[in-house]
Parts: sequence; C-alpha cells; structure tokens
Amino acid sequence: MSTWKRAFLYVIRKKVKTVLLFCVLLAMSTFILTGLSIYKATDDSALSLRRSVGGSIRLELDESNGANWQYQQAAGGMMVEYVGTPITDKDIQKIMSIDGVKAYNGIGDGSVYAKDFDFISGFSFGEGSDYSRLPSVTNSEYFNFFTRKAFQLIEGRHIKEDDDHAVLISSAVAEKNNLKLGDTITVQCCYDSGDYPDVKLTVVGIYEYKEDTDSFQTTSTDKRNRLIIDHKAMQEIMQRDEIQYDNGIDFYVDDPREIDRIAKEIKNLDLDWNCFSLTVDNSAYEAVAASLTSMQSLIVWLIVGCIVVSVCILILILSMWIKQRRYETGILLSIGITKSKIVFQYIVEVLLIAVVAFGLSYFTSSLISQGVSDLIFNQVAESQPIPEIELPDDGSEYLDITGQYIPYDTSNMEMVESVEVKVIPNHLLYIYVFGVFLVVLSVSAASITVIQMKPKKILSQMD
Amino acid sequence: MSIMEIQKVRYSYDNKRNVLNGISTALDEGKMYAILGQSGCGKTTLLSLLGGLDSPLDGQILYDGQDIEKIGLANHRKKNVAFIFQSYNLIDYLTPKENVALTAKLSPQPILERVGLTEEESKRNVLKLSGGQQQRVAIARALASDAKVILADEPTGNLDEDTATEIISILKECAHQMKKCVVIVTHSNELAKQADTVFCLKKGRLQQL
Repeated sequence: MSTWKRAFLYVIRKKVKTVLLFCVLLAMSTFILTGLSIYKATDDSALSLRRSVGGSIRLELDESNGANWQYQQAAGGMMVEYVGTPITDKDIQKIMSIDGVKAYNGIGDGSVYAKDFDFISGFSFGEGSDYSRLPSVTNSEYFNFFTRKAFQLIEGRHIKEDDDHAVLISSAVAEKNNLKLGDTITVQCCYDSGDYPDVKLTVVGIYEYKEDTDSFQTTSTDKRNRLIIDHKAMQEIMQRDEIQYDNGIDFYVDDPREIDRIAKEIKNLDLDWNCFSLTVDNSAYEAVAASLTSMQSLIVWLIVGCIVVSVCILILILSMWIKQRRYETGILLSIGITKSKIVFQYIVEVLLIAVVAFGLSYFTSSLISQGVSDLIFNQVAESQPIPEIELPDDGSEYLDITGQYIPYDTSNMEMVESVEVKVIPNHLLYIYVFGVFLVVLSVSAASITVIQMKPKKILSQMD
Repeated sequence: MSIMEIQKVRYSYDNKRNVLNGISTALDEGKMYAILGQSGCGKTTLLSLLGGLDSPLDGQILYDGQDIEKIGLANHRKKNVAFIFQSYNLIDYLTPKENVALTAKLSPQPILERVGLTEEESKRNVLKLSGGQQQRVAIARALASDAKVILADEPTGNLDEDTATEIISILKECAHQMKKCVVIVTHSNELAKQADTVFCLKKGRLQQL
C-alpha cells in the first residue's frame, strides 16, 4: 500500500482529528491571509497617498554662512545683499536628472504697491505700508500654499513655467476689485532703491484662502493679498537681468519614502555647498500617513504573531498525536517501512487537510478581512495624535511668502480613513507555498522524538 | 538448508550483564522453532535481533549467508522477515484487508481466507474483530509479505486455548507446507511441543532441548 493511500485513509477515517486539524489550519490560514491582504491594501494606499501628497527638498541660499552676505548702509537703514554663488538653471538641471525627482518650483520674492486696484487693508504702521509681498513661482501647483491646501484654486488655472506676466489673486481681492479671469492689474515694486516701472499682470487664476482673516494682520502679512506671479513678471517688476530664486527652489519627489536617498544624491552633486543648504520636507506624508504606517507595522506584528502561534499550536497538537501514534509507527517500522516514509505519510496527511483548509480560507478571509481592517484602522487612528507642524515662535510664519510654515490643512486633505481590502489569488498562492513549508516544518519538529527512537524501543513500549 | 544463522551474538542492555552471551545457531526453512525461557531472559531481544529491529553488540546475524547489517535493517525487515506479535499490532484505521495489503506482495483476500477470515470480516474495522481473528489478520499480513522467515512473539499469549490451537496449526502449516522458517518465542511448554526444534534461553546461552 502506498504512503499516499495510507495517508488518505487516515484522513478520512480519523474524522475527529481531521476536523480539528482542519479548523486549526483554516483559522491559521484565514488570519495570515487576512493579514497579508490588509498589509497589501495599506501598502497600496500608502503608495498612492505618498504619490498624492509627495515630498519636497528645498535648495536655498545658506543664511547661516555670514560670508555670503554683505551689509550696507542705505538711505532707509541697513541693506543686506547676497554675494555668494547664485542658484542657476544649470544647478536645477543637475538635480532634476536624479532619479525620483519629478518637478521643481523656484520661488522669487518681491514687494509691490497696487496701482490700479486695492489690497485688503490691514493694520497700518504709517504711510506706504499698504503694499504686499509677492512670490514668483515656476509652477504654482507645487507651491506650498497650494500643496498644503491653505490656498485652493477655485477658478482658472495654475501658473506654469512658460507663463509670461500671469498672476493668481485671492477671491477676496477679486471680489473687492470686481476682478475676473483675463483682467489685468498693475503693480509697482515698492523698494526705495531705484526706479521701478508699472507692470501689468493678467489674472489667470483665483484662489480661496479662508484662514486667519480675523486675526491681527498688516496688508503685507495678510495672505489674501498674495499675488502669485511667474518669474518673467518678477524680472520686470524687480528690474533684474536674470531670474533670482531668492527663496530657494523646492524639488518634488515621486515617492516620499525615497526622499532621504534623493537628498543624499543631491548632496553628492558638484554644487557650491558653502553657499547652499538643503532641507528635506516629508511632513505632509507623515501628517496624513501616520495611521497607515502604524497600521502596517501592527499588521506585520500580527502576521508574525499569527505564524508563530499557529506553528506552536500545530507542533503541539501534532506532537501529541504523533506520540499517540507510536504504536502505528512501531508496526510500520517492523514491516520495513523507513522512518522517512513514515514522516512523509504524516506530512501528506496534514497537507491533504491543509489543501482544503487553505482553499476555504480564501472565502473566510474575504468575509472577514474588511471588518478586521476597519476595526484595526479605527483603533490605530484613535491612538494617533492629530498631526501638527511646529510653527516658529518668531512670527516668521506671518512673513514667510514661501508657505513653508503653513500647517497642513488635514481637514481638506484626502485623509485615509479606511482601506479597501481585497483578498487576491496571489495571496492564496503565498499561503499555499508558505503553508506547505510551515506544515513540513511543524510535522518534522513534532516527529523528532518518535523518529529518534529505535524500532525495538518503540515496539517494547507497545506491549 | 539454513536461511538464517546466528554467529556468536552478544547483547547487553547496560553493557555490564550480557543478556545474550555469544550465542550461535542456524535456522532452516520449512521448520518451526520455539524459544522457551523465563521472563527477561532475552527471548524477545533475540527475536528483535533476528528481525533487524536492533543490532547485536558483537557477532553477526546472517540471512541467506549475508550479514543483515549489510542488507540494511529496514530492507531486511521489508523483504526477508515478518513479525507476529502477542498484541497483534494491527493498524486501527485500516480494515483487515488493508492491514494485509500493507506488506502485500501477494493478493490479500486469498490469504485472509486461508487463515479463516471471510470476505465480510476482512472489510470490517479491525478493532471489531475478536482476538483470534485479529491474530489471524496478523498472520495473514506476515504471509502476504512473502518473507521466508516469520518471527512470532508470544502469538497465542492473549488467546483462549481453542483459538491458540488453531493459530499454532496455521503457523505449522506455514512452516511445513509453505516452507517458511517460523520462530516462536513463548512461555508455553504446550506450544513449544508443537515445534520441530525447541531452544531454551538461559543465562544468555541458547540450548537445544
């Protein structure tokens, strides 16, 4: 009689043991399959979230190195002038060639008076304080105010790299001045040190900003007065020959998980690091993905725990059963069946049950995985602190035109509140491959004590 | 003609006192042997050594002129010898027919009928058979293996007198008609009287009576 037939007969005739082992294997594979499915679902969600919120690396002029800055006495007080190496388009291209960098946004800085329209007036310190600062950007879609959802484009389009004298204005300024898309506004640089022309800008988009409208603001700190323009317009406003990225350049990465590697590669580039500094900003992803990350680590521990507990239970049950089967082992040995064939029979018996149990776990896991995922997700989400970004206490968040200190408006962001879990056949394949390995491991471990005994000893214990 | 030879076999459980002290003898096909002796004298040990369930400390056991260690003990158990135990040692989840089929080189049913089991009985659960019937199944299993040597350890120990007589007659038939070498370990003088040759194992020595 073949080993396979003996194993088959054992499985169908020892019904209680078969049912018990079936339940253990079904529970084991269901939990592991559920864990795998939830892990995969959270991994997919995390990937899509990472891609949607992105991450950025800012290359900027190093303010901490005093050698790069020259102080001069001017009519209005002290003037600070940057005398170090400027950031050039060549530097930008070097960084853009690094794998994983998808876009960049250079930010220029200027201040202007409104010539043929009015800003939202803020607290006035005296005559001439009714001006606003304006950033020039390469691509406003990547501008921090938009990526952090502080500004939301409600009409028109974003500013692109090839725009010429385009501007985005707030809905508050648009409303106050009855401006609409396609209208033009005129601005003039408000610096004392030179003659600056009036510059006409065409409104290509209108954004909405709802925060901080009631708090203490001057005209220039009120973010509703931000005019977001392209670099060509800034060149004319500031009367410069070249684009100056006074507020640095943000480089955006495909996957924030890669951000440290990319930052390291940028650091290795041949750039003048005496004049530039690099800042990594991964906070958007961290702010919204904390619960996903926690859930993933929890799931990994659950899967590992499930496997360890399952293997322990399996070894324990099988050890007891195989010890009970010493009698049979002795008989089989006495008729010349080798120990390896006897262990193989035990393995085949468990595998015959496992094949059915693993297959059924596809359905049981499909039934419970979404519920388990929601339960774990809620638990994890509840234990997560509300994400907050530490703001500087020197008031620079009011003055900063780059949006660097704008907290993420997580209420408007696409937060992950649950993940859609789907059990896929590939996971079942993992269960089969891994399950077979676990079964072989468990049966072999459980058989050790009996298999180490000499046939005569086993038979003498029988009588 | 000798099918098995025992040559100066020594065995000890603790390496101090020899249970088998350099015994030698030859066993022929077509004969039934009985080994008598008190409990613990080493009868079952000798049977285990003949059957390749254990190895002697010294000496050799030959099957058809070849050392069974060289044949391989598992191979020897599979091809050359068959065991019959006092407690029958049948596998409880197999029917009598399937138990016989475990070793079968021959078709199980005719053998089962030859030892007195009907076709209906050979399909039952073995645990539902009487002791005598179970021992018949064990004998049928030994015969089905087509081994030349049958080693029986107290084969009638658990049976009533009438059944024991029937079992002995089957074993005699195995030896005399089927030309097997049957070696029986027993306490029973009555059973020993049925054998062609009787040995007594005493103080590690094998004496022919």
